[in-house]
Amino acid sequence: MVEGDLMDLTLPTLLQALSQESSTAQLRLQNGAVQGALYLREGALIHATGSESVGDDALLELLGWTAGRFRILRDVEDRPRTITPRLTELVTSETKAARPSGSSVSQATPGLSPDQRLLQDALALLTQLDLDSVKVSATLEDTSGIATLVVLASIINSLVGFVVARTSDLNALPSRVLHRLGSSRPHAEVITEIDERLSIETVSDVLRTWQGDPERQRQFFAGVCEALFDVLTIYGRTVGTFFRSTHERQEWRATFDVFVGGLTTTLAIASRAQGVVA
Amino acid sequence: MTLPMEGRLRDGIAAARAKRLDDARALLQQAVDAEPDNPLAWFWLAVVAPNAEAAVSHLRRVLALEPSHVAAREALAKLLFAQADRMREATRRLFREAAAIAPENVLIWRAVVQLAGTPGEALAAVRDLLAFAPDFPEGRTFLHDALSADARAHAAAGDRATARERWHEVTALDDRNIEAWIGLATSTDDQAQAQDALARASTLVDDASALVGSTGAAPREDACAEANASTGHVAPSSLAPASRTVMVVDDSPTIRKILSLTLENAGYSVIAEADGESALERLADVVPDVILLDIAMPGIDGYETCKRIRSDSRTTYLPILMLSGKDALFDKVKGHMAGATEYLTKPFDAATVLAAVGSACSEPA
Repeated sequence: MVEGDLMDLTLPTLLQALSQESSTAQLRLQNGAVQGALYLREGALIHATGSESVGDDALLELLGWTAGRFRILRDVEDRPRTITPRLTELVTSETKAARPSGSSVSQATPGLSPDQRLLQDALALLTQLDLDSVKVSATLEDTSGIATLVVLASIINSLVGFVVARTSDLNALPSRVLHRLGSSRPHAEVITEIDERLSIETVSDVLRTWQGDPERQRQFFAGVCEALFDVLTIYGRTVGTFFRSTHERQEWRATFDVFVGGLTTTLAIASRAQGVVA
Repeated sequence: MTLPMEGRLRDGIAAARAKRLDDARALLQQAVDAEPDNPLAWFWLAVVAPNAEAAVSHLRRVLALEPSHVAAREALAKLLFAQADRMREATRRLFREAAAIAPENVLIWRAVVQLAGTPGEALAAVRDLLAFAPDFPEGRTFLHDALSADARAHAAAGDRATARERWHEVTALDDRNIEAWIGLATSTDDQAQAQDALARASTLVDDASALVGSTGAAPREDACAEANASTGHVAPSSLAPASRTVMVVDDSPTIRKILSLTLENAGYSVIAEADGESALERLADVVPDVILLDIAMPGIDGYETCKRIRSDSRTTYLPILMLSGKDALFDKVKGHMAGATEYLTKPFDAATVLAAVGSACSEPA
């Protein structure tokens, strides 16, 4: 018998282990007074019982648990098949595939020109950045705005990585970009770089220890955001210069502009909610 | 206790929706046995049929009882098309085998070409035919048509280099083909070559306009406007037949833009909606071939939208690919129970999206 806490081992992880080992077992779960169980035959999930549900509904209920205890027991009894075959297949394929997710590198598509391949890779990166931009909304509780700026810098750093991996032009390095930007955008000077990655350490220190006028703090935050958006735009435009074809370049620019517009809206909503910027 | 007919039908439909297929089949079979003239019972029996043949038989019965049954007509048409397509492929293989045995028989080659499933296969068959019979009477026409179709297909798939080669061959066969000159112009990176090709197309359009005379037709602007729009390039979709429509439902403007761009470049028509309510409203007017549906959206989420799409007989069979923001089993299980066909995990790349949509489009209902 094996037992433990769902905080340490999640249910998908347990199912993955049992499925990979082709186990015949029952996985008993307890969350307070509520109990549930999952039954596997040679790695295939066949039956589930929840608090008041059986089969697919029970599986869905149990997968929603984030807390509780589990016990894995041998299971020799006959169990009914209450999980629909498609779900059994889904659970098995999900847990056995061990498919890498989040790859921003496109699958090899035969017959594409270098520009078309580049556009595919750049758009795949944008889907990742768009996903990351949702995290801005999750920073609402941090009224200092630091968490928001961390997310923003992380998004820009992903784009920086994409650019510097594709050019040997030293002017594309963040240290040079920030230096050039500093003359027109004073707040860019408080954005630093460490190993050619943007860092908001200095900005965070300033915001964390702010003692002065809250209105000035809001203005400072807004100024840093604008500087970061300038950096984002510079790198977006730099990606555009990699395309030889006007068609792909225009498609990239149009899509990137939509992304920046969406990010601006998300940031404005988050900032207003935080009260860190007017 | 024996259930009344209405109870069996209701329970059978509920079982079908819950994917308890064996129960559903048993209950619905009892329902049609008790009331053989009930089209609804036959329709749902078709939905849970164990194979395509049985589904076809039941759907024919529905239409015999209620010829205007829209969902049954659509489903039967899709099933028959898939069946015919399988038969065509089997027939083509037989002809191809026959052609290999008797390559001098041009009639067999003609059948191979006509039965080709893709432009590439058709072109290969025509080339084989001409290798064996260079003087085949229709050879030049066959080659011209096959090259054009293959060029369009490659342009739609974004393979401009191959499209360029094909259009070049077409212009060598027929130097008065306007489409080929425009295709050549839009598939080359050489600006001088593009301008030369556009000039040829323009001259031909002028000639055509002169022939049309005072009828008011002015094809030149229509034909060349888009080609000139972006310094000599046209989006491949403008050359591709927009035979398939994909509905994209996502609250992120970036994702809507990326998916629209990716799909349109591959030749699909795209309808983009920002939330579930708008998508459901749009579905009242248009039924696409595939729906790409985000899970996390404001208002009604992707699961609920999926359920509502499934509950409408017009859209019951639509492939729904859910876009999950994370590779979570919970999302997939919940999506499956809501009726999703497949899942795409964000972030995604173009090849993954196109493979999933292509697969969904090719699967019979």
